[in-house]
Amino acid sequence: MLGGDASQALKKNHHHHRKHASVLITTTRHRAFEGKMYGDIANKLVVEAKRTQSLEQLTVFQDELVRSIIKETKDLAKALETMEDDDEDRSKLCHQFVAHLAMRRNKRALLLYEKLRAEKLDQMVWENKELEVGNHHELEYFKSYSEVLIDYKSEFPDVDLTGSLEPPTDVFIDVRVLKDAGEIQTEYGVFNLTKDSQFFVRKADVERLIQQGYLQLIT
Amino acid sequence: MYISRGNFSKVFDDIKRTSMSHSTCKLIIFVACLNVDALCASKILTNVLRKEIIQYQLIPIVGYSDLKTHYDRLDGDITNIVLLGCGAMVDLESFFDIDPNDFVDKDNQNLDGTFTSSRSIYVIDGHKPWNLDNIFGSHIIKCLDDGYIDRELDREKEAYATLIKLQEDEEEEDSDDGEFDSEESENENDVVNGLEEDEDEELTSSQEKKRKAIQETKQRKRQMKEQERLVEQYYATGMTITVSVSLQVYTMLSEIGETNTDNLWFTIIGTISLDNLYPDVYRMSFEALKAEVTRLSPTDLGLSKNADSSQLSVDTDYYLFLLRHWTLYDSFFYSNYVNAKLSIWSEEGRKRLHKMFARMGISLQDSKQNWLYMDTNIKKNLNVTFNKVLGFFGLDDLIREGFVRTYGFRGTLSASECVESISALLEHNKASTTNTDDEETDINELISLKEKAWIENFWSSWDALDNIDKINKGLEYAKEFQKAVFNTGMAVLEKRLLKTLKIYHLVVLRDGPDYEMFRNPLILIRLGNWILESCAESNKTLLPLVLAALDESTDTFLVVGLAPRYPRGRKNLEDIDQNTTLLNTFSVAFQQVAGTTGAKVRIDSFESSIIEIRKEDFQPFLEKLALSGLV
Repeated sequence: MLGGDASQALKKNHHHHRKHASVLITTTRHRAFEGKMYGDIANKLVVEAKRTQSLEQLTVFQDELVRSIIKETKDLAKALETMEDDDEDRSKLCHQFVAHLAMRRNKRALLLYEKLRAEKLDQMVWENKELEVGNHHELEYFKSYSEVLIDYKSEFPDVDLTGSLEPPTDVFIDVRVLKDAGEIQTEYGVFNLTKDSQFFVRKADVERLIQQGYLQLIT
Repeated sequence: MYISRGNFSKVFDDIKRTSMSHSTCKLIIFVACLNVDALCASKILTNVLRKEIIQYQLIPIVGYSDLKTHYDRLDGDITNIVLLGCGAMVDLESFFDIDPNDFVDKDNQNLDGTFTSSRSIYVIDGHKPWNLDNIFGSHIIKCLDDGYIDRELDREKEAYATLIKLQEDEEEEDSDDGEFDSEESENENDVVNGLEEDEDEELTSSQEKKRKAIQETKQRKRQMKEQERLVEQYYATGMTITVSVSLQVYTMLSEIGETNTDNLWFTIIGTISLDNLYPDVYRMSFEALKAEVTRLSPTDLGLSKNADSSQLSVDTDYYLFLLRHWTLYDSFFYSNYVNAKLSIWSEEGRKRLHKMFARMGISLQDSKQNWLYMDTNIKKNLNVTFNKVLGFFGLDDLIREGFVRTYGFRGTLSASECVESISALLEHNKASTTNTDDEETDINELISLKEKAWIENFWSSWDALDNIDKINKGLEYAKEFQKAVFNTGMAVLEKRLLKTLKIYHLVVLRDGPDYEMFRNPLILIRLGNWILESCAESNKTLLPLVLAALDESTDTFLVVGLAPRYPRGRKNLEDIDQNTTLLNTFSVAFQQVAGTTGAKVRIDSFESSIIEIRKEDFQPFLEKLALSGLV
């Protein structure tokens, strides 16, 4: 672990860096994100992207964040333009280097975000899901990707390319009727649910009835 | 129609072919509820159906009226119905109000131009006598037979065929007669017209015709009466069971090659459950079952006991009550067999039992230890000790061969113990006390409550069949019930409630500590069995038993008629002509007497010798029964 001195030094360093950044921002007269480091907003976007990765649905597009990142990048670019080139001034060179790094990092974060969303959209097309949120461009992308996929699928009429790759388990199950429910219409036909009888049926047909408490699953 | 062994695989193929569809389930299985054998059979059958992915609905059925209501509620596109343990004795086509023309399958024409029916009802039932309309008349009803029809019913078949033919002839003749009459009147007209020269000839010829016709009808009537008598005689001989339902289903399985240890185990349980009432069934199928066990579960592979082994083996079994789960003393004390032989219900009998333990060299203290904790030396030498001592007390046949199943490290269970547990679960009455304070409740409601409890019991037994923990629970109930049966039986014999009438023994239970229990027919039969076995030892006259228990909440008597019993044991069997199975004649007698007295009787149970009768009608009913000479 770091000793007392070392952590002190780190803190100092940190402080120094922050001062440095604030100098840059004040020079560009934009104080929106004062007190933060470059790339902090980009980091937020990356975290957001990581969070949505495991979700089923696409989340709302982070318009605000993206715009702030772009703005930050643009501001940095402007600040660089106004800066005079001077190979002798080493501190100026350092300024330029840091600004470039920050811009590149922002760009990468934006690309990553878009890439992940695009992948999600692809996946949703393959899984035949409806797109509920998403901005104008994404909707367009979604639509054209669907068309591409349909085109592709039409070449293999005998194969269900979008079907599940997992082999099904427990297609048929035993259920016992707990409550009289009369006739139930399912995808494939009619069931007569008489109390105290036992069925051996397709799981998909009765899953909802089990949740509703009409049927009990027998294992 | 009937289907003999050897063609069962075709039955299964038919069911499979017509039940497989992408729509809903087209196969309904009705199971007789209070019947261990039918329960096991349904378990086996559903195992196979599940393997073949055939959708089915399984409905436990309490009695005939229940069966009818459930049948009426079925969808039109149900193609197959299987009846397990019921239906053999009634004319199903008229019982269900089936019009064969309703189920003509137009898409499926046979070679000879007739249509196959779009619905089939398969009857798998061991009850005899078969209803002749089912086996010879209908094409929708298909009965699975064990060879009994071909072996025994040739005469009845002929009689049935001639009867049908004669009936048809008569109908035809009726229309012919009409023509004949008009011809006659024409003749008369001729006479009036004065064509006298032909008159004589015509008259004589018409007279001759007439005489011939009369003779024919006379002869036909005689023939018809003869055949009717034959058929009636067939129905009146009495009820019995000749084969277990589960064995029939297992036969089907072996024909399609789907046998396995689980299904064999259920078959054994189902078959052995009939051992108490119909000892012949088990005796006849024992060798076949034993062969199947050795085929499916070879024992000498040198496998040591491990946690997953669920082996089935042939082992020694005893006519003792739950030996492996109780104490040695209790299993002797509560065993029907030992009780009958030593008459333990009397003071002397108990002394004899103690003497026997002394002779075996087992202290009473030891014998009252739970079997699991009993001295291992005694356990190991038990067979030797038994062989030495039992003969002296006339208990030679205490040891017999039986089937034992291992459940890994969780214990072992013999088939007869399993039967005790399962039937105790069927008998168990959870809701007996909840409704007794409410005097207002309707009889019908009470009955339906009772039947609901039976259905619940059916499912708990169903679950127990492959769950050793639940079986253990059932064993506890079984001990309770056996104690109650023993105590009540003892009271019956001590208080001389057993009345010996000219043609049957009679016991009427009106009170007693446990008498509420005996509202369940299965427990009542258990008690009847106990009494019968005792009777069989004490007096050699083979009299049947009528056992009645009062249910005060509904003011009815539950009446059971049981066939007489030969005393158990090899020696006794040698004396008696083995071929005569003792039939239960009460099914016929009850019906007839109920019909003649006009008593309010409910005959709903699939065991036709179990009836319910109103309290005030009971006495006249008994009087009539005694005088009827039907038994």
